[in-house]
Amino acid sequence: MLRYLIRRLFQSIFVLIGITLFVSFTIRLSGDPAVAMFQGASAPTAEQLATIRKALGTDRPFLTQYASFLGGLLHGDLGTSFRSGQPVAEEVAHRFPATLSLALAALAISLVLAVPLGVLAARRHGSLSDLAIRVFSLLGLSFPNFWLGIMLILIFAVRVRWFPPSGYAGPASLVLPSLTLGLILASTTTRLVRSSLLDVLGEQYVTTARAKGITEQRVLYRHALRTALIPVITFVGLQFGALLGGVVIVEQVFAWPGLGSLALNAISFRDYPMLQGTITVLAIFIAAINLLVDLSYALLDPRIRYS
Amino acid sequence: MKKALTDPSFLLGAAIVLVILASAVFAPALAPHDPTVADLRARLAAPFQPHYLLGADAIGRDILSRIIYGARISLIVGVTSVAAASIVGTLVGLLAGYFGGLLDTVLMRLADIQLAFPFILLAITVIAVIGPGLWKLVLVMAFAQWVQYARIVRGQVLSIRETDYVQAATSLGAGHGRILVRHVLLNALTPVTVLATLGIANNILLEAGLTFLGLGVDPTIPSWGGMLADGRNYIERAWWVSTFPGLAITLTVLGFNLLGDWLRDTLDPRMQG
Repeated sequence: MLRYLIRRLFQSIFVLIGITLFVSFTIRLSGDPAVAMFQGASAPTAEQLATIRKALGTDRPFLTQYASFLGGLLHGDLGTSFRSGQPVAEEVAHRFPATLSLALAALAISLVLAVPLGVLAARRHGSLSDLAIRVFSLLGLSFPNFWLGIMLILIFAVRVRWFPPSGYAGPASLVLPSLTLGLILASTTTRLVRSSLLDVLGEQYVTTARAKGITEQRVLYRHALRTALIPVITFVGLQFGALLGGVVIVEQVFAWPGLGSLALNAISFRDYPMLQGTITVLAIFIAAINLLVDLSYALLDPRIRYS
Repeated sequence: MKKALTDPSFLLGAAIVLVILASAVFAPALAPHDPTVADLRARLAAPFQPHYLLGADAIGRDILSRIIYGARISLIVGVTSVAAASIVGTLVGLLAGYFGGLLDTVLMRLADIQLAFPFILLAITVIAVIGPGLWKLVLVMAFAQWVQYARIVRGQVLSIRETDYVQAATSLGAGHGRILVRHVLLNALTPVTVLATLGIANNILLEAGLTFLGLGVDPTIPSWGGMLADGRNYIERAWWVSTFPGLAITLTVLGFNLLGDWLRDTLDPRMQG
């Protein structure tokens, strides 16, 4: 187990280095940040540019800059925003709870919908409700999340004024954006709960349990569902990255002040340290979730070997 | 093939894709108006009238015509990005799986990274630097997605390489090139076809999403994502501006998803979900 843990940890670190190296390198290709800072102002002199480059540290070779970015990262320092002059880490920490609450609420909604629906579809395999649930999950795969968001605003904020159409004011404003993401995630998760439970219900130990005269309810909930949910946990964990990608788009639909809108604003103001910091934090967050999921998976299923 | 013609998901998927393809190809003949010409008297004209069947947008452009022309953008981006990613990915996967070694190791580590880095974040990073645009978007998609194809082809190659008929061909003196093309490639193409069909659906969604964010196709070109970004601002006054383009995206993506699901069930019974 310990060996597996260490190996998996190293893999995560390698992946994070890959991603941060890619992001730093790409953003470096955008050209000289010193020039970008003079956008709109009168043309800077060579002397002014050199001063700024020295202040920003961009006169050093790329790998030195990357190493100092990594060093800062370890101390929670993500650099300074070009635009506000404030530390990037402060702004990211300020925005992070909004993104996290949206992602977690969406995850909760998706599981609350997907598990019962998936169980129902598997139990009534081949019935009309099975078909209806399969259609729901196929539709969910085909819906653009931002359009679903706009339609929910249209119905629940414009027609009947149950929820605010956008913004970040209290729990009511969380409902529509998290429902948007939750419904879409629920569609794929339902599909998986259904097929995973169908697989397990066909296994020998389930037949044995039934033969022993255990009630169908007990077979389902005590024996089958527990096993069937293991691949679902992995799937949901792997989907966390995609979920955060969706959050970036849906934040824009609902004017939600999270990391996604922070990154998009950073693009329009060419605030590269802010963009780099936001993307890096999101990537670390996803890698951490993936690592946790992998480890919990190994703990839950004794059949997994740690080699 | 006979079976396909009675399969409801194949029929529905194929019908949707054909309709979208036809509107993309014959857009100038089908569209009742020029999709870029604004008629200020028709600003936010309501739908279901003879002149503007699906209504008009904030500067009086016909929504139906813009949807018909918008099919071009969605299909061009969806198909070309998947074509580029799948061709590059198949080639790399084939070589990595067959010869193994350093190429194989590098490929698998790239796959690890790609799995942990959501496309939207990658796209935001790259487009922030190279700027938005149709072909740049295609390039970013191909750049991010070829690894998926390489990974799946590599897996296929590893299992096919050990089969009896490939062993037999090798012992009969067939060269690497002949074995790769005749025996390995043709068998590895099945999962690639399935992945590519579902990939078109996925990339149409991604294109619309990025264009909606202002990171995709030029907003002056009629595209479904761009129309939705526009309609978001008039949601309180004119529901039709954002409703119809979204329906077009959903239908198109549904069509490709149905075809992809059908292909998967038909070509590989083991993958049935």
